Amino acid sequence: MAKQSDIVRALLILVILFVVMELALIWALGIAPPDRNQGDIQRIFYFHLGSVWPAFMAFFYVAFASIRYLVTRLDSWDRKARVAGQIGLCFCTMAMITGPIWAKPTWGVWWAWDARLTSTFVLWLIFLGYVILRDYVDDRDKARRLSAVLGILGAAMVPLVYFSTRWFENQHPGPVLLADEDSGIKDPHMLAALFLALAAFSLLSYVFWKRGTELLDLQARLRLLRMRVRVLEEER
Amino acid sequence: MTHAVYLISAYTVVWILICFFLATLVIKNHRLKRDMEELESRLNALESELEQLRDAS
Repeated sequence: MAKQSDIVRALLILVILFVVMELALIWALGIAPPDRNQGDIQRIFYFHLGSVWPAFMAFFYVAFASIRYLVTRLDSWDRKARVAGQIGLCFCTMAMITGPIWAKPTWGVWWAWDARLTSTFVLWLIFLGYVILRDYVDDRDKARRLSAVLGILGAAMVPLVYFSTRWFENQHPGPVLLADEDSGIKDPHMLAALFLALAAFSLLSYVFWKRGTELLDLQARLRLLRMRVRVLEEER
Repeated sequence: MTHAVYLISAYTVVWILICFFLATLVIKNHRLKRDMEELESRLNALESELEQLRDAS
């Protein structure tokens, strides 16, 4: 049943999202000090990492839901994976846009084909394929199975992207979260801005995912209703 | 600091718009779900009515 409490909860989450994102903006753009070496341009980092994190989470969820789909063959798991893949791709795209904006003034180039950037680009291509694959395979079951396999393979690449800065020579900075002792952020206001941005973007991706799955569920129910109406009309 | 205030204000406006869009989406989805449930229950009633008619004939 479409309960009133559901809509109240959904709107409450939106209010929380608004407050957290506002705090993230205030901390990232106003309170956190500028970087010693890079100055104010470093502030884009809060939104760059803030959009990478939900993308990785979404890709892991694609793998989880795809495995559940392959085991149970329930369409609802496929729908959840599909929306997570779309959201992951969106946030990954945001990271790939904010990255070069940050890279140009600090490195002097928009893009460098180092391990981190190249692996991220490959990850982005895999999930672009994941999102558009269904439109190119006519057999629905086959499309779902292929998408699930591609989603699992894509998510398996996320650890490679994350650890690429440790395993290979890179122009890209090393990890900030789970960093070594001599690297990472030390300033408490910078850390607060980072965690607020992470929380805000994670919540935003959850809100998008929830609405997306809701919409696909409704579409599936509508298809079923249409079929039942057609059967009734034929019987009349 | 003034630049930061302008930036924060500009992004706040964007955020208000995005949250407004999301709120309308929440409300529309909720209404859609309610209408769908109503249609499903009507269809269930019609199907059982048809079943009864078929049994009677």
